[in-house]
Amino acid sequence: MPFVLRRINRARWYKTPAAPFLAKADVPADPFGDLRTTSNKLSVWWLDEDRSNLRRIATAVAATCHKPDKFDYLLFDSGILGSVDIRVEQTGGATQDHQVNRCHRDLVELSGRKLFMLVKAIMTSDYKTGRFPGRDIKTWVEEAVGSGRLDLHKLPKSFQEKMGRL
Amino acid sequence: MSRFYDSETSSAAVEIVDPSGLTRASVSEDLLTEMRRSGESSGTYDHQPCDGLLDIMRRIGEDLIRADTAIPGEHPIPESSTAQKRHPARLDESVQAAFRAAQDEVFEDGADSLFSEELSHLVHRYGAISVSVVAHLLSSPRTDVEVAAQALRSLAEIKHPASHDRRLWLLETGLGHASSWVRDGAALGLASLDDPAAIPALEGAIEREEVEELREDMEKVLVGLARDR
Repeated sequence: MPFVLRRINRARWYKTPAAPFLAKADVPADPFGDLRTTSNKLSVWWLDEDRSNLRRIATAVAATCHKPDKFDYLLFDSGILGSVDIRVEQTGGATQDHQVNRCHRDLVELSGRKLFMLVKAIMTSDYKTGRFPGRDIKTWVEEAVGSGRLDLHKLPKSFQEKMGRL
Repeated sequence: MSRFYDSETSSAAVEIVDPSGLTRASVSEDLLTEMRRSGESSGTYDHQPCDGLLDIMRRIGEDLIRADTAIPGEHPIPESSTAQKRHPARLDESVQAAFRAAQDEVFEDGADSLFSEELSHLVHRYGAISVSVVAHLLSSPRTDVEVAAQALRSLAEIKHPASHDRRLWLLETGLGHASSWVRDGAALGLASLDDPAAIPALEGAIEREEVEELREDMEKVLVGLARDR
């Protein structure tokens, strides 16, 4: 079963003991800060089962930003989506890397209830979070430019400046 | 140090000068009193990171007491600061306003923020004193922890050698904050500041850290800094 990847702020997903104010079936509110929807859709990336495309996706997504920065991510089993009745559509990503763009999906027709169910299902699963430091992202983007996967001149100008390439 | 009446806020204010003598700023008299009280009750300033909020307050107080005694004659104000001298801006008001506005801002990795621009502006204008005022706000339980974390990350990215040591101290201090958000912001800031002098503080923080993911991220920062040594 492939994994679903979403860029997050890792501090919202720490696996710490439940806060005392939470009822038994409730979930903390902070993770919702990483699940901002547009037109009731949520953008995610489909990860190979062996996670071999994780670094490539992170590099391509990070290179769409204004500057090289850390990349925090959430990974969960794609089977969770079926369990909470969330529909998935394959839509092209907006990175420079065509292979990465094929891994993009939208979770569609989301309601408040479905989003709550999704967070609850993720938080009771064996989900993973991780972080790629900013300096690694910078190195990988440079490598991707070197290998031709990314075009330096198509990176945002501010990103090029921060890489010292302008 | 000189006192004046701030007509904009209808309150008493105090003009202070950075120990370097290069920058001057004004803060509210209430804040200065609070900081000085904390400073007077402390011991020596040993440049080591500390755990408690009280210690943060004490150290800021000490800094400001030194600023008090460093003013006229010993550290002349450069000519270029004449305009500042005539119309001293209220530094603490400016920092507080920036923190208030930041609560409505959405921070995203890989993007600059208005908050970081404002902090950069204040550090370039007022120097290390502005970092002390930020430190005072970070020690307040009323400060939003996400904004506090962002402040630490933003301060670390500012290119301003004159305030480097003060920012390093603040980031090291942030590693002992009660909020994991702020400790994370401090660790990320130390990664940006890229100063191996932070290694001992980081090693101590890793030893103390109870959140597994955060400890893992701090260890990555440590590896990065050790590589630069």
